[in-house]
Amino acid sequence: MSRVLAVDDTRALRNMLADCLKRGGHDVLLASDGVEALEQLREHRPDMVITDLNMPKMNGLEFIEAARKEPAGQSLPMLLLTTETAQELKDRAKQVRATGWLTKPFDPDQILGLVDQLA
Amino acid sequence: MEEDEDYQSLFFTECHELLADLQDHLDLLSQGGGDGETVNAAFRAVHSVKGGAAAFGFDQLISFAHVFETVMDKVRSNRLELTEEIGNVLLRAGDVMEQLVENAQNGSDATPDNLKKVLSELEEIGDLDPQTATGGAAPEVVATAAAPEADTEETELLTRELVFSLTPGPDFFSSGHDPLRLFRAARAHNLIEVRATGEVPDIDAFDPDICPLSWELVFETEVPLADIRAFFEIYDATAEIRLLTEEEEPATPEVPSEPVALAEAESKPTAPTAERPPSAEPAEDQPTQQEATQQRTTVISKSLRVELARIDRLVNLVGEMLITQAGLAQRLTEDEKTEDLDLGHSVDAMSRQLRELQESVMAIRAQSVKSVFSRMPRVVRDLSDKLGKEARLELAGEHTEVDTTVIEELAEPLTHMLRNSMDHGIEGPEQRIALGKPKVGTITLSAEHRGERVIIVIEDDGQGIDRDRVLQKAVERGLVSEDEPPSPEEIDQLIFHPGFSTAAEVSSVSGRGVGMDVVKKKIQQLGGRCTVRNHPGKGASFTITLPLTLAVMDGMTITTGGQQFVLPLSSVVEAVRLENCQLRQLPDDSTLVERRGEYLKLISLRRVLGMPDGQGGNSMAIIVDTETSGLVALQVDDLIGQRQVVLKSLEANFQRVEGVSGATILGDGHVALILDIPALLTLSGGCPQPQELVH
Amino acid sequence: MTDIEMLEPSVEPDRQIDRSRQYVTFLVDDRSYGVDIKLVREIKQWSPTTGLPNQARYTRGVLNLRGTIVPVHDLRARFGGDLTNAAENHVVVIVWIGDKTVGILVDAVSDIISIATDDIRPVPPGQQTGDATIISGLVSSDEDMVALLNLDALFPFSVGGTL
Repeated sequence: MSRVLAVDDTRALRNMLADCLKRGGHDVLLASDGVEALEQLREHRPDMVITDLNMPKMNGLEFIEAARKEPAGQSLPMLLLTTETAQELKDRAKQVRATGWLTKPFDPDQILGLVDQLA
Repeated sequence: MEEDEDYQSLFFTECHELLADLQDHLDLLSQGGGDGETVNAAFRAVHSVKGGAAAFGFDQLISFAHVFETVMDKVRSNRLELTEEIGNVLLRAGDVMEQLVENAQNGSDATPDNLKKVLSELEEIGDLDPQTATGGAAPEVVATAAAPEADTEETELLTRELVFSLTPGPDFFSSGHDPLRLFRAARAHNLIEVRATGEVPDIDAFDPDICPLSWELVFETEVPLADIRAFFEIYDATAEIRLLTEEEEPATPEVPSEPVALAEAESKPTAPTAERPPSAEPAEDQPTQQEATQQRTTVISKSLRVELARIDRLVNLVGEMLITQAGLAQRLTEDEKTEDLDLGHSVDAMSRQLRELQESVMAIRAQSVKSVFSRMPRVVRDLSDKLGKEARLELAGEHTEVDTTVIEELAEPLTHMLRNSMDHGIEGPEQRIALGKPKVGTITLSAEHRGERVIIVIEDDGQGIDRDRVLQKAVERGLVSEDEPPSPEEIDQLIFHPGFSTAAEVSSVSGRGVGMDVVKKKIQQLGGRCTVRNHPGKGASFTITLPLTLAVMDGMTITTGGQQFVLPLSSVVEAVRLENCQLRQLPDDSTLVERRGEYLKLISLRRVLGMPDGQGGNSMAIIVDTETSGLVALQVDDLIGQRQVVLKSLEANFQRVEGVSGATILGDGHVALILDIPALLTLSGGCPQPQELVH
Repeated sequence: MTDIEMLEPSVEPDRQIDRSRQYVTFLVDDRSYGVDIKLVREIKQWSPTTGLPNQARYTRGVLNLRGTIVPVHDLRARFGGDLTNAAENHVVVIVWIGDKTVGILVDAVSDIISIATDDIRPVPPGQQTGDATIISGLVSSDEDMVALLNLDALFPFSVGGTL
């Protein structure tokens, strides 16, 4: 069982992700943008993060970049879960040292598999 | 809000894919094929649709999927045997689910007609209590364990050793990866050994962030290679992953217990382009080979999503180059002073290269016919229900590739033809038994490449075309004269005659009143042909021949009134000099041409196009097949020759012009119109039938 | 939104202050017509077109503009005059109408003028022949009067509908 932080500004999808994680028996933390996510990260030290890319205030890439500078985020598995497919964004994700890139809509089995694999 | 809708539309797209897969799996299973993985995949398809539906709150879909999933779970855990009958119920459940997805997509909460019936059938075969079954979608704990569960039960799969090497890149650790966690997780996939390779450098040169080692991971497993690759996918960005054991095709699930199945799979051509016409230069194979080896070393085969508009621009540009090149070659031959052979050779070489370039570009747009074919079983099932007939649709050659432009246009004619087969071909079950035929009829839908064209055949084992009835009807409608009875083959062709629509009156199925003439016209519009072979009592087969693309076309260039035009070669029967023909003047001022004892109406293209008469020329007659009203002789000034032309749209900057299907650019840069002969003749009153627009 | 509006010729004079636009003016039978320069893609010498069957009289056919097929309309004939006896000294103004590219055959291109939007006068009612929306406004320039064309109304099939 792991503690997973799910970040997405769309409630339906955040809930969908959270439900999926809960079904897999995980503890779920929620945030609706990068700023909230950073707070959650500092306060609750999750084992893993799954974040959306396009979000208000601080997007997923900015969040990961900031999180890598935090003690709690240095070697944390952090996945981007997004509808984007542009190569520039993927390159950027690599640059900010995202752990992986997943394309929405997600496959619950895949997400749970990855949590088991990475966290 | 918009983003929400975006996710939804993605969800819908995925649903359609899942349901198409589901249908494939169920088809396979109900015919006794498939294995545990097929059942799992079918289960997962239903489960995923339910999961998505739950996220977006499509209640009808959720509760139906829930029942469906419960039944699938029983099948998966061998608590329910998948007989053909049960397979049929599941297939119909798939159809209902598809309908529910479509309804959700259109924002309609209508209930599909047969939902209740199928739901009760599901509950019956699944031995479910209707009360709890419809109780909604309680969160479940089933899906995650799907694969391992199957492993313990389905032990017949082939176990072999797979070795992957993983070399971490500089960002591997700092991107949140941990090799220990990786190994631990890989154990779930039957990792049996890890070997480290490489050397740890001196302590001075040691960078804790950079891993100097690579690992070889040995799996001894029976799960498909794709699953192991999926496991590694997440590491792909920050580590180099190679498969060290030999590449294999995804195992075909039909005969899992026999190693033969794997060997067969391997010998199959990897890329559908390998089936391409023999005219392709041998050189074309080289990049494909390179590609294949590349795919062997990188773990996940790379694909790229490109906007169609960008590819179209490329297609256009290549088209332009072909035109320029043709112009250049023409200048060269006209210029008799040129004796520079090298220049000639270079121009020839360039022409070949351009053709290759064109073929490569077209290959990018190629799509397998599967996307259309996979919709057809449902059509047949629906019709089976409505007509009280039993029939199964068998698909073959679904992976045949055709240009996207053609794919989009195929669904409608195919649907009509299946309707026709179900309506007029396949007999009722009692009648079939009485005839000593299997109770369930078979319709085969197949596709294959032949030269530069794709051949699609729809064949049924029904009663064939009833020639007596067709002839009787044709006489009644004045299509043929009773005194001169047509040959049996000619009778068969009458079903394509626009005045002959048996469909409209026969049953509610062909309720749209669509006759085979419309199908033929549509195929003709696509530059194709449609023929029928009739085996009375045994069945009929319809063959559609289509160009592989609608972006280029074989045309015959002619001149009339000082302007060049292109006629689709597919409709040209032959070209004759008028001075060699017998002409007959009719009292109504029209002229007939004699051709092999037959009289054809001679129509002046100038007049049809509204050009002024006169000024010489008019020396040729092009015999064209109008499809709608037989052969017609088209009087033109001169014949230039045959050539492949690149189709350009008139609608892009102007509007649809009746009688003209498009335009092309000639070697000299001028525009030539591509004529739609049947439409043109209808327009000018040359043919009596009104032109129907088929989309 | 303002950017998009600037791409469309407005039927009414623009109310915003101090905005001036450039217009390409051209001649047909010594009368001046103007089109917003932003809508002009290029100007070409006349070359013979390929005729289309059963079209409006003023549609002279299509030409090849670097690989795309572009229709050419005869402005004189569009205004009810005779077909232009087109020769090499005639000019085809290639314009954008919506997302379509269309050629307009005129006698000659005369000038590029700057017009303050305030100087555009509405067309007096009853002064126009035919469709009242064809001319979007009138402007005086060097004692000459320039009629600003509303291309959408002039060649309506170019913006999506059919005639």
